[in-house]
Amino acid sequence: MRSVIILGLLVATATGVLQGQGKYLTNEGQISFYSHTAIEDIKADNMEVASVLVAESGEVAIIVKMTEFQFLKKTMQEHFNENYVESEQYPKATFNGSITDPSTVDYATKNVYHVKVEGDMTIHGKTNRVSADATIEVISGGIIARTKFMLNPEDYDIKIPKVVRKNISEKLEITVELTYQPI
Amino acid sequence: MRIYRLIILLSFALQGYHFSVAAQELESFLEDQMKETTDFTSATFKSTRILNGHSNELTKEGQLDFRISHRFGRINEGAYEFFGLDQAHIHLGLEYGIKDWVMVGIGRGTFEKTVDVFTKFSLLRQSTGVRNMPVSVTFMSGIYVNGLRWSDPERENYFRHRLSFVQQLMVTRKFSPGFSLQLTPSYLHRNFVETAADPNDIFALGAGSRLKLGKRVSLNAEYFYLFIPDVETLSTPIYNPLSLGIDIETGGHVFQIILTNSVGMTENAFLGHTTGRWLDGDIHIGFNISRVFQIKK
Repeated sequence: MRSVIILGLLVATATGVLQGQGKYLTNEGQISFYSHTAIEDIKADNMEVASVLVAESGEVAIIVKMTEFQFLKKTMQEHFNENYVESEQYPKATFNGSITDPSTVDYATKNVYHVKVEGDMTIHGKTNRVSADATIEVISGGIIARTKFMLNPEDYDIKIPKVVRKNISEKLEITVELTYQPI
Repeated sequence: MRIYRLIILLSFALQGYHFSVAAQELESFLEDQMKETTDFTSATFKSTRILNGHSNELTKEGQLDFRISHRFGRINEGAYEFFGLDQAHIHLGLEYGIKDWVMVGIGRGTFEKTVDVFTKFSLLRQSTGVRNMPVSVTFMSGIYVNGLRWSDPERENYFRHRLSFVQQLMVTRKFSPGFSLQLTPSYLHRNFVETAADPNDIFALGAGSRLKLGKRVSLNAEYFYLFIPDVETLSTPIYNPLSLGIDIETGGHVFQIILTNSVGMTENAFLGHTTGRWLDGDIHIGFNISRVFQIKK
């Protein structure tokens, strides 16, 4: 009897660790940021965002390579990496969090689900607790997660020098679109 | 019995471990799933010039760089010449990035009323990741057309006598975000020289560096060692050009303020005609301004 319980526990542990089902993955997610001022509009797109989402628990991890943000002006891209986000020192931005109520999403039924995502966002070596409204669209062969939120660079110790203060807005609009496939 | 208890404990511990590290585990799981990439080093230098000479940097694709450079007279000319500021040598340049790996430029300088054209290619780029490359290698080739009236109009003068050529290889490494170093083997060929004592070919080895003092300010130094056996035998002795400067970057501008013993701002001039010596006080104050415009959207 006892050995059956033990066996059961061991199996539970093993499956818990090895569990691969119910995970969704992308290596080509998109994150854009946009700054609008009277003088200049600045936009950059990153098309190489990696993310994993665990359906059951609602856990999400996102990794963003900072050097992959593509700007229209390449000089601006160089400045972004060298002087603002300091990519050589902090090559990645990350998000570790979860959907607050994962049971709202039925991954078996095609639909758009409104959820709230909460977690720790790390940019430029600085971590902040953040939350945003998001949608999860269940499509055939995957899911698309979308969100849009405002980000203040100062919260992540990214200093905007006075000379260009008028060219960069106080808050950046961040647009996220992650098209996941099940693994 | 003990063994069973141990196994049960271990089993619970493992499950607990599994839940507590879930967040980090998910991130490292994701790390493992990510494609391996190659990271190319950027901003080894802030401008296409370290000070007088070329750096490994190229004007990026579709960008036009308008450059204005000044060198004043010699500081040791004293108060009467306002320490050289009464005289100015100028060089104007228009440079364009055809691709991220090839650029062209045209310029006009006061020194020998020279028109210069050059092209610069990026051959290797320093990178880490899938493709590991310890250095960047860049090649520059320039042609310089002396625009002075013939010193001796009676002589048979050919257009080719006006031409000089420079080939340079820039071997660069960015050691850290704050420090970059470059070695610049250079070869100057002049079709026509003043006297038989002056060499048509001059080989030189340059060294240049960038040390960041702040986010947008760096200290640059540049030196060329000329392989000339005895400068005293030349019609006019020439010396190794040494330049020190501060690089200031604001938005699309790069401003460089310079102290140098060379009044010429192009390769043919600073490799072949640096007649001043630092130790004698033959130092020129100067500046370069670079303004970059995005032409191709």
